[in-house]
Amino acid sequence: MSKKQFLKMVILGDSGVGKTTLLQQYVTQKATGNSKPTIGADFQKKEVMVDNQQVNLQIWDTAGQEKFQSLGYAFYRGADSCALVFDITNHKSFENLAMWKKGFIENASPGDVNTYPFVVIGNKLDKEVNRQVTSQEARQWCKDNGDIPYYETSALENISVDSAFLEMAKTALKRGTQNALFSLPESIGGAGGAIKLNNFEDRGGAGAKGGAGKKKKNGTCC
Amino acid sequence: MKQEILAGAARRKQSEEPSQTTSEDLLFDGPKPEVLSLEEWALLISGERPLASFSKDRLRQSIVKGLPQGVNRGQVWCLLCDYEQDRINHNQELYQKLLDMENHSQEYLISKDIYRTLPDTKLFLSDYKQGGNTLFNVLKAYTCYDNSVGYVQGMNYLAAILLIEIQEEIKVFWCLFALLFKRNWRMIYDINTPKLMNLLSLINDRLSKDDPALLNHLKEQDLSLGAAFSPIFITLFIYQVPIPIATRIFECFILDGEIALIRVLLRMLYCKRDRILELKECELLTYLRSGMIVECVQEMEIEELISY
Repeated sequence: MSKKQFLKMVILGDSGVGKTTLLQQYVTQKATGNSKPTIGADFQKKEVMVDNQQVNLQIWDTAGQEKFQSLGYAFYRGADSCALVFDITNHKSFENLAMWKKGFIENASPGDVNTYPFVVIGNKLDKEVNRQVTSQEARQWCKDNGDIPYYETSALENISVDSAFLEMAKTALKRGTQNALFSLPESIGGAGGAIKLNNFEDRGGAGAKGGAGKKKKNGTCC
Repeated sequence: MKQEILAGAARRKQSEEPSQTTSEDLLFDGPKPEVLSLEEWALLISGERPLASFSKDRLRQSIVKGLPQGVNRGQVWCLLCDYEQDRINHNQELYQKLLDMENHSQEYLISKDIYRTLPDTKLFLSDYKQGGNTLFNVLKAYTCYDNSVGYVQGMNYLAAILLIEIQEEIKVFWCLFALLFKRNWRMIYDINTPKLMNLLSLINDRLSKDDPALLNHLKEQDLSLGAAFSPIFITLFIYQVPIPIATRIFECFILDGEIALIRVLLRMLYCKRDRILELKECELLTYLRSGMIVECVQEMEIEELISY
């Protein structure tokens, strides 16, 4: 049975909901709250212990702007877990969760969508006075979308950031073990993700002249 | 080889249409013409001599060497954007009318980025709702004009660097109009960023001719050129390099368009070739996205970086 010690995670959500700050807080325990808008995608690494197992996390921070979604698709492949982030003081960012989830499912080929380890994060708890999305409303959405775990965080004040990421890691590990039972490919990304990448690459990536597509993908960057 | 260079230069002169760039245009070297004298700069800025009376090669050389003291960079940029005829052809109230329009979805997107655009300059911190935020204003006006593309991240950097040098909102608006709309740089901000795809394949072609080993290495590492280089093109280097250097690169972009950006990038890639060949996978991606650029900017003279 495979004990996967490497996990790839992606963070999705509207521009300005705090994705970069969440990641910054989680990885460096510091957050300035005025990070640059993310262009394309960036990643950070972190080593954590989950259920007495050492796990290397590679967390991808993506651009929140809709127009750049096609740039993000290349990074969705092979993701073991996905955080959908909205800003509790911004109702529109909550409404857009469905769009982000759909884009992820269509491009990451995540296998059985119903058991895929999503986590929903309502960020900016430090701005509670300006809240536009109630916890109840968010929880209901999570329930309707396959009982996704819901966390309310403040990336700025480090509230519940660790627990949200830990939840992602835990469920991803659990699912990885279950999948191994059904002898699925070693990585959830598999061939589906590779095809998506080739679509992207054909429009100008390094693999444009062939070559990259022939290589066996392990569904991860590292 | 020499013929190729000349052919490339001839093509550049014939048309400024960015979509006609070919990888042949990216060859280095070429004649080194005389820079403009102070008198010539004065005549150009005062309008006594038109821009077209100076050869592009001389203008390029002058910009690579750096504008002389006393020449106002903002005025030069306005001239190079060459928007005057368009300004005259449009309603004189256009800018004000665009500012007065209601466009909540664009305003919402813009408002999220203005305070985090070049925050160290502290230039764009005033409350946009009060009307005093110049960055918000020019971006709003432009995106109301070009509503089909609308506001996209990256435009904020372009507008910000223009504002730093030009200050007057209305002039910056016309520069945005010239660069984004007239010269079609807006296609880098359109859905699926078609212009970016085009530029990446140009880089791919150029590398396959000049340095197949380097390209092969990138392919073997399964590297997405889009992941590595999108910030460079979407923000014209302004995202990653200190403002004074970004300003010089941007100045070349105003003169020569996208070729300037690709050439700077290629120069960096060739300069850091050995390091790139050592790196793999994630480390390689991170290096190309930031380390390489930071090192080149620190180690190379600006003139060396932008001369071609």
